[in-house]
Order: sequence, then structure tokens, then C-alpha cells
Amino acid sequence: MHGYVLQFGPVFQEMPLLLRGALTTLHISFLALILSLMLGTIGALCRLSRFRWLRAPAALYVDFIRNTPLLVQLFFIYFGFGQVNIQVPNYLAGLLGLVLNNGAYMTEIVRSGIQAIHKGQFEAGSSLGLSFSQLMRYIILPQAFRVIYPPLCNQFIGIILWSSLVSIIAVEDLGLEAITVASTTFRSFETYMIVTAIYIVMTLTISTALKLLARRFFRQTA
Amino acid sequence: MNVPQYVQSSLNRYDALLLLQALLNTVELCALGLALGSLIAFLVGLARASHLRWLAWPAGLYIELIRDSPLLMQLYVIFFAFPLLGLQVPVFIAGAAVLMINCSGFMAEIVRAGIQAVGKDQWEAARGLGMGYVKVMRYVVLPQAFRVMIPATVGLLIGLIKDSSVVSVLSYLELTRAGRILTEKTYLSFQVFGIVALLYYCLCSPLSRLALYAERRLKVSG
Amino acid sequence: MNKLHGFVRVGILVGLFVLMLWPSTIQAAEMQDTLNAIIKRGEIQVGSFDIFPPWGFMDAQNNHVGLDVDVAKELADVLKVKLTLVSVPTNQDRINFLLSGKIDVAISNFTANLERSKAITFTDPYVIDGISALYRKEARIKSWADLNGKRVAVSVGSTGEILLREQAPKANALRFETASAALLAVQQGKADAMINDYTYTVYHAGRDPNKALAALDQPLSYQPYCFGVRKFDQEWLNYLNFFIYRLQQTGKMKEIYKKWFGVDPHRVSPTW
Repeated sequence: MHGYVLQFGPVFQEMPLLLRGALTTLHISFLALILSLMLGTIGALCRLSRFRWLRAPAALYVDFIRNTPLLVQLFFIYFGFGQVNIQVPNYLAGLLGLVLNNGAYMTEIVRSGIQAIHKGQFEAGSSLGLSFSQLMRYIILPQAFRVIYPPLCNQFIGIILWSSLVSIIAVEDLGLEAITVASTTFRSFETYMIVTAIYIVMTLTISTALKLLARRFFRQTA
Repeated sequence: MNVPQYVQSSLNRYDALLLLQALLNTVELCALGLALGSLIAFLVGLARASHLRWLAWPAGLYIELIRDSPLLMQLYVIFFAFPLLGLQVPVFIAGAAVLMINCSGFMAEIVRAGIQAVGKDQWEAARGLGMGYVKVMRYVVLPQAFRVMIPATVGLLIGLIKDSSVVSVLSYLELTRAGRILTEKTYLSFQVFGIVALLYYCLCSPLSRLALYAERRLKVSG
Repeated sequence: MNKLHGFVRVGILVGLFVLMLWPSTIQAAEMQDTLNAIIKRGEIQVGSFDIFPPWGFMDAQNNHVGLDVDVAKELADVLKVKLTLVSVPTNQDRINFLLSGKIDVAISNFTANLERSKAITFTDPYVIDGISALYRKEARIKSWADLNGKRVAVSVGSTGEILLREQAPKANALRFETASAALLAVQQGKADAMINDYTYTVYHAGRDPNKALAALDQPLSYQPYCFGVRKFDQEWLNYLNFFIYRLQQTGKMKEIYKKWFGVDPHRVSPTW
């Protein structure tokens, strides 16, 4: 390309703006993680339930979400519902999209976690007279949590990375600030390189932190 | 101002043709991305599984960088890198390039896992028969590794088809971009994105069932 | 895996520092000769929007049409070359595509301003448009001050976004990547108003099937639309300036403008 000089300086000057976007990315991702884990647990319990009227919709939900792209889901929630007069503000639409999308994957993760628990645990629990919800809360889910911890961490990283798509529905996250900085400095390549590096630093830091957490908390029990 | 009005109140058959063309374009894009991506993934996966540190370490770095950065940012970086290298590429090539690189990153891990799933005793037995590295790979390890890799690869292809929706931020006429063009013309976001979601579902769902079938079949014989 | 993560992070930080301190030149600046390149190739590549009616959009048969498309066709006819329309997805891609050589000229309701002129070169204006507001009737916008405190949709990198930040800093800005998304936001009531080019706002006020939108009678400020070309391309710039003058002198520009807007264009002062 003629006369193009790589200059990262102008992009570094806009770093406060980029970091503000990164903060938004982090908090929408964190909220999405908590909420989708809750949704996933409910979904997993539905999928494993005896009742067909719980099993079938849950399976349908997971099937549909996992076979359609997140971007289309976001457009559908933000613009699609808007057309039929269900107005969802953009941050909420982004969050909802991320929660519904990841909820499907969480459902499968939690389900496999529960199924990994030895059947003897269930029988022992119920023979002790524990109700279903007590059984779940005190015996099954804590053990399942340890089993699903690695894929859960992976999913959290995935949420952070895919949250960049909410920039397309005007959420002021790192992705949107990247586009802004690129259009004000006219340095597109440099901007996106730096923003990619910021994402990588975020994900590596968080995944290392999660691994350290695992070592501390999961060492005690067998 | 006396402005000639132009609103399309419903989708017509030209729009159906546009969606069909976009569907074919999406399939074309993903096929190319998968084909070239697998080639790269093989090389990187073999390198990653090797005992030679100077091969395994850069391969690991390549895989980590791809897995820890958002697809949207990868797309922008690659798109703006081409002109800096003096290359003018049509948007189809830029889109295929990012899918190829993203696919190669994730698939390299699948290749590595497949190779490492083949027991060490197979290696030693083959070596004991006097086979060189290439022969061992070709006749003993890779055929067994394939059995492990195939269900995961079908899963990757599903992910690739969903990832192609992110390419809609360029101006390549794939399915999501066709959706945005039609939404602009008709304001019917609910119908348009609903149809687009269903089309993606029709592409991905059969592959999901194929993956389940392949997993079941290949497990029993293993 | 922990060790690998540590190495990777250090490696990336080191790499970033190296890149930051590296003021390298990729290629030396050289004179362009786009005009002769086009004539030799027999083809001109023009960048236009495909989701920005009526300047560049898809009609019912999904052909790429619009005011800018008609101007581009006129240019190709005059040069006696084939016209290739390249769809430009976002505002800043007009500049990016020019710089990377994907297009020879950007004819895409391109407002000329001094910031952009640092990266590319603008021709003389072919249309004088303005920045205006498309608003929901109940919002009753009359001026910039009325936008403070309201939700205003803009497209990132556009002149409207810059002006909104200057003139109505207390407005709650919804920044979309494309004008098309911003328009949808206003049309659905997610935003009270949208800031974009004057002709765009008037066109879309009339186009709303719910008849809930209105546009200002006069623009809030006037802006020139020009063609965009690369720097160091003097011959091509001269040719296009003369082409624009001839468009206006022969009345062809008036004819094209009237076809899409139904009224005469705003007077553009000639430079010849």
C-alpha cells in the first residue's frame, strides 16, 4: 500500500477510551456468565426431569440456540422484537442475547456434570430422607460444579470473546470503541491489533486466575 | 420536498432469490474455510503433538492466539492486513481467510487430541517393526486418530457456519448480510431475521445429528 | 499450560512495545495514475453504499441503484469503461477501500471535512446537502438544543456523529455501525431521533409505513458531498473536478437529483 506508515502512537493516545470499553465488556460478560449459569442449571434439571412437558421444550431450546448464530439471535431480539413492539434497550438486548445463547451451552455442561455424579449418591441421599431440592442443593450440585469447572471456565472465556458482537447493536463495549478509534485516527490495522491484544490479555489473565482459584478450592476433597 | 415513495411492504420472490444466493455463498465460504483450514490444522496439530520443543511451542502460541481473541477482531485485523502486504483481495477471500485461520486454530487442537489419543504402545509396536515416522503416522496413528477427530470436526463445521455470520460486517453477500439488506428495504426485521435463523438452522441441524451419529458409531467399534 | 500462558503474555507485551516504537515505512509514497490505469483496464471500480437509500440501495429486484449509482454510471459512460460497483459496508470503509486500492473513487454521499482530508483527497462538491434530524413526531425536535437528554441514533464515523457530540453533548447517543441500523432504531422507537444527511432524513420521513417520523424543513448545517480519491493522484482529481463541473453545467446533475428527490438541487457554486 502506497505511503502507509505503521503508527501505533495515535491509537495509544486513545487508550482511556478503549479501557472504558473493556470495562463494559467485562461487566456484561460477568453478568451474562452468572445469569446463563442459572439458566443452564434450570435447563439441565428440565432436560433430566421425568416430565415430558419439561424435557421437550428444554431440548428444543438447546437445539435451536446451538444451531443458529449469536449475531442473528442478537438482531432478532433487538430489531426483530422491536418490530412487533416489544422494545428491548440495547444493553439489555445484548445481555439477553448472550444469556440465552450461553444458557443453551450451559444446559449441556451442567447436564453432563449431573450425569457424571455416581448414581449411588442419588440413592444414598434419597434413602436419608432428603427431598429432591435438598438433594440437589447439598449433594449433587456442589459435586457437579467441581466436575464442570473446566468447561465452565472455557465458556466464560467464550462469553468474553463473543460479547464483542454486541457492539453491532450499539453497546459501548470494547468492540464499538475499537471502531470509533479506528475511524477517528484513520489507523484501522493498528487499532484492531491493539484491541485484539487487549482481549487476549483479558482472557489470559482471567483464565489463569480461574485456574489458580481451582487449585485453592478444589484441593481439599477427594 | 416531493419525494417519490419507495417501501416494500412484504418480501417478494427477488428477495427469496437473494436469500438463496446468500445461502449458497455462505456454504461456499465455509467449505473453502474448512478445506484450507484443515490443511493448516494438520500441520499445526502435528507440530503441537511433536516432542520437538521448537515445533511444539510456536504451534501452541498460534493456537492460543486464535483461541483467545474474538472472531470479530480477527476478521478486522486480517481484512486490514491484506492491503498492508500490498494485496488487493475481494471480500470473499478476506472472509474465507479469517474462517480458515480461525478454523485451523481450533482444529489443530482436535488433531493434536486425536494423535495423542492413540496409545503409546501403538507407536512403540510400529517402531519395533522398523517403520519410519512417516509410515507410522500414515498407516498406524492417523487412521486411528481420525476416528476420534471426526465427531469433533463435524462440530467444528457447525461452529464455522455460525461464525460466517460475523463476516456480514464486510460487504460479502452471505446470509446475515442478506438479512440486513432485506431489513433495510422492508423494515420487516422480525420476519427477515426469523427466516435467516431458520435457514441457518436448516444448515446446521442435520450436521448436529450427523455428529451424534458419528460419535455413536465410532465409539462402539473403538 | 500455565507456563505457556505466561510466555504468551510476556511475548505479546514485548511485541506490542516493539511495534509501538517502530516507525517503519511499508512503501515509499509515489505518484498515482488512476486515470490511465482505469482506461487501460477498461473498468472503473466505484464504491457506494448498498443500504443507504436513495443514494445507494437495493431496489425491489435487488439491483444496486441510487443517486450515486446514476452518477457513477455517467462517469463510466464518459470514460467509456465498464462500471463495477463495490459495496461499502460502513462509513470509514470509504476511506479504507480507497487507501487499499479496492476502489478508484468513492461516490457515496461522502461529506468532505478537514479531518478526512488528512487521509484522502476530496474533489469539488457535486451536491450540497446538510446535516439534519429525523425524529419521532412526539419528540418535537427543532434545533440542536432539543436533542439534549434525548436518545439520538447516529452512525459511527459519520459527520452527524461528530456534530452531535459538539452541538448536543448531553444527548444520549446510540452509536451504530451503519446508518441503516440507526434508522431502524428510530423507526422502532428505540431512539427519539437520528442525525444524518438532510436528504436522507427527508426521504425516510416520508417512507415510514407507520407515518410516525418527521424531518426538519431546513438542515441544521450545510455540508458538501464530494467524490473521494487517494492522495498524490492529481490527474485523476483534475479529471473528476472537470467531470463534476460538466455534470452541473449540462444540467445532468439536476436531472439525476430531480429523479430521486422530486425537487431541484441546492445551488453549488462553480469553480471554473
